[in-house]
Amino acid sequence: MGSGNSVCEGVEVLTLEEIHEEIRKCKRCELYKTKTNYVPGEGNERAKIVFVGEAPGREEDLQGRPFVGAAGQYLTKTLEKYGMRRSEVFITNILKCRPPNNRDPKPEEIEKCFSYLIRQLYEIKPDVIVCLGRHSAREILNFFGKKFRGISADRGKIFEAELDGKKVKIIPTYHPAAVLYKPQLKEYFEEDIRKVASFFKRKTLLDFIGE
Amino acid sequence: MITAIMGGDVIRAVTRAMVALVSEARFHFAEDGIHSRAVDPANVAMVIVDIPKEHMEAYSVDEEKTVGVDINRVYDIAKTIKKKEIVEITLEDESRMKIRFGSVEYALSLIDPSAIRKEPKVPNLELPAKVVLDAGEFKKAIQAADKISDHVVFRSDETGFYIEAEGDVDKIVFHMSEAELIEFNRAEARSMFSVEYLKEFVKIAEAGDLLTIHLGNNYPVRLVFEVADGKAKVEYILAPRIEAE
Repeated sequence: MGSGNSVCEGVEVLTLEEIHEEIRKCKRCELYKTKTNYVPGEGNERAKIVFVGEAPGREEDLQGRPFVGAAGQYLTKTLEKYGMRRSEVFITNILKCRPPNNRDPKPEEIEKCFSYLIRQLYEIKPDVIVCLGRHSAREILNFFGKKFRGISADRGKIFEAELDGKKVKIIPTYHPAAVLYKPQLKEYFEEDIRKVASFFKRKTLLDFIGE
Repeated sequence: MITAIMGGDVIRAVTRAMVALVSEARFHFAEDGIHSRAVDPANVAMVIVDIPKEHMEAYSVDEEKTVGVDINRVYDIAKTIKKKEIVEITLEDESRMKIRFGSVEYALSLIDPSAIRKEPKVPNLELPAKVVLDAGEFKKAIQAADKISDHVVFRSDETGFYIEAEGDVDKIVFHMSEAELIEFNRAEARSMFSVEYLKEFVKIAEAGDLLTIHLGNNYPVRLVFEVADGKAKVEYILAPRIEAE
């Protein structure tokens, strides 16, 4: 993917919705033929935190929304547990179309789709990018010129990078689907989301009860 | 048997206030009126709703009851009720509530209250600044702030009450002096809050409604709305954001 922020050079500046409209007409790879709906992503266009998964699954493909299946519900509950509402963050995936039978994304699919994600990030200008799962972590860290050593080694680490002249933190963690599959990962995943929440700079009412 | 008769504006405002934060809540039908409180799943905001007996058209309670309500469903029903229409709510037991208006009667299945998240403790807050203003003005300020930022600062000092929002390039300052405020104690306070919550809260506000704001320093804010011509009270308590150092 190459390092640096070169993907957006020379690209017309569009609003997030205009980028999403473009995604909804995309035919850059073959996945548009098998998908039901494009899944550009959703959430707050001024989000401080952006969560990036791998690719839409079955439920996401049917609804055209990211992280709405079982793994998505677990992610939503974990965000809420640490004081974040889905509508306050932005959630998307590396691929905007579902690969058939949830197979791993192919390198050429990632290559063709990746610029959409980068353009979304340029438009949102988050403080923190959370990579959900190894595919997301590998691609995003590589893009920013950071070495990815595997999700178990790098989860919970804070990588510092620059996006359009602004400092951004990149935090890889496990994919919520992996946590549902292997409950022993839950402790690590929730520890990472708690760390992410600390960048949200917000207290909850629980901080004031019993004072 | 419990019977409550109220204006459509009351049921609309109250259910709109609750759906901003939760999808299910416990409602207490007490001797002195109807009460509910709930906290959102992120524990960031709380809503407290009171409809006093004397503000209803009629209210009778044989025995006090607590029921579990699917707020989304009641709000969907309430949206179809005209503001000046009279609504009759009857409760014979804890399993079903009847909502009658015009020639329509809804029989709504209730939820086991024990299956709903435990009601929150109300934090004991000492908030120095008290500001009373037209809720419609506050709504305009929040809607303007939402266009440029995800957070706002509420600030109060002897010169008045301020709502400030700063985006990447733009800035909005809403200022009301003591003369423009309905009540103001000139106390100093400052806290920052998420616009995402506030913009949901102001959906119940209409021009002419009274809003009382109790503000502290990096502390939760209490926003007390008197809605439906003062017939119901909706209070939100919102936890602060932490300002960047």
